Amino acid sequence: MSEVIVVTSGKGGVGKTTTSANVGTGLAMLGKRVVLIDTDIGLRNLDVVMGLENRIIYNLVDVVEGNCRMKQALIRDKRYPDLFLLPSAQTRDKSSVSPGQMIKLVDDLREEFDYILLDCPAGIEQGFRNAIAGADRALIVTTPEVSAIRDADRIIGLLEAGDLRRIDLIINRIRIDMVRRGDMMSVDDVMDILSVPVIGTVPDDEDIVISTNQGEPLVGMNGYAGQAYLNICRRILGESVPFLNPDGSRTLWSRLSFLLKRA
Amino acid sequence: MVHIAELFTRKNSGEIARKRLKLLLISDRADCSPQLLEMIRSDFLRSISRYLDVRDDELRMCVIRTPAAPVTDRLPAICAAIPVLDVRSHLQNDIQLPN
Repeated sequence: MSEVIVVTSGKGGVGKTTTSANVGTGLAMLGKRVVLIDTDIGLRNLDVVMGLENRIIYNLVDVVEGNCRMKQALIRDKRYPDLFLLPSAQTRDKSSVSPGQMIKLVDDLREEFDYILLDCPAGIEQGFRNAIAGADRALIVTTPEVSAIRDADRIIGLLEAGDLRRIDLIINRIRIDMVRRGDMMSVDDVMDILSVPVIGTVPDDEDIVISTNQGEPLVGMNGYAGQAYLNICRRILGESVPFLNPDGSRTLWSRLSFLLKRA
Repeated sequence: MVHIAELFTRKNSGEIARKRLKLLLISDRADCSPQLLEMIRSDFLRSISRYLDVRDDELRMCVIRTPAAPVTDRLPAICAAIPVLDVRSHLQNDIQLPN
């Protein structure tokens, strides 16, 4: 049985695309057939984060308008043969696709894939409406900042009015040193305020910047962020995975292996 | 020396963020301004203080979405919790309940 998951946040720049790339790659790593759909028409980015920008021929709008078949538009990942990307169109806008068309597109993919991940654009307008239309569940990405949490709360309200099976929260860019000295809201603070189950927390880690530069998601790699994303994937699959040591300290071994890898 | 004093009295910004956010979400969810909420809050305190001895500095207000189905009919609900120290004794005997 396949599941359609929308990755959304309301606010821009909190890490939706990075989360989509890592969760999608992680699910493929765990043996699932996965397709990532970039629904940010006009501002596509998921292709770059996945390192697949040079392979785009057709896009989401081409599929919807019937300019090509679905198979022609899907790009196979470099590392995982069961991971595909349906890129967005760069020269069109959000009104090129309707919620009804998105539902049909997603339903067509259900037969082929275990997980269909939709990377939602920022905002609550048509792009958002399109992305959530065919979704079964949602991952809401937020950071421990007033503006991001406020927008997440608004998104939760809008999603609750729809018919999603499940809504989970990912708290991104946590800086444990700042939480410890009281200059950043903690995971507990955010949970208390938003009252949505937290499916994972991701540290503000420079490894993420490095992996985005390289166009290779870091899920599963040594280090707190790579493991945090893999744990989120396991929890999506229904496993109960304990949360990582929240102080984010690296073990000596992971430090060494990280240094060796970069050398 | 002022600097050292500031160090000790400075409020952690995380706590400031948490408080601002709580107030912000109350007004967002109820779709009314923070000023209106402040007025509701003070009126509520004034009226409840007539009957009960309360800790007025510990009034907590929040807005939840009522869990009633269907979801489209959900309305925001304002909840208020306040520690009651005592029922005002001088009133206890005087209150005439309507029959």
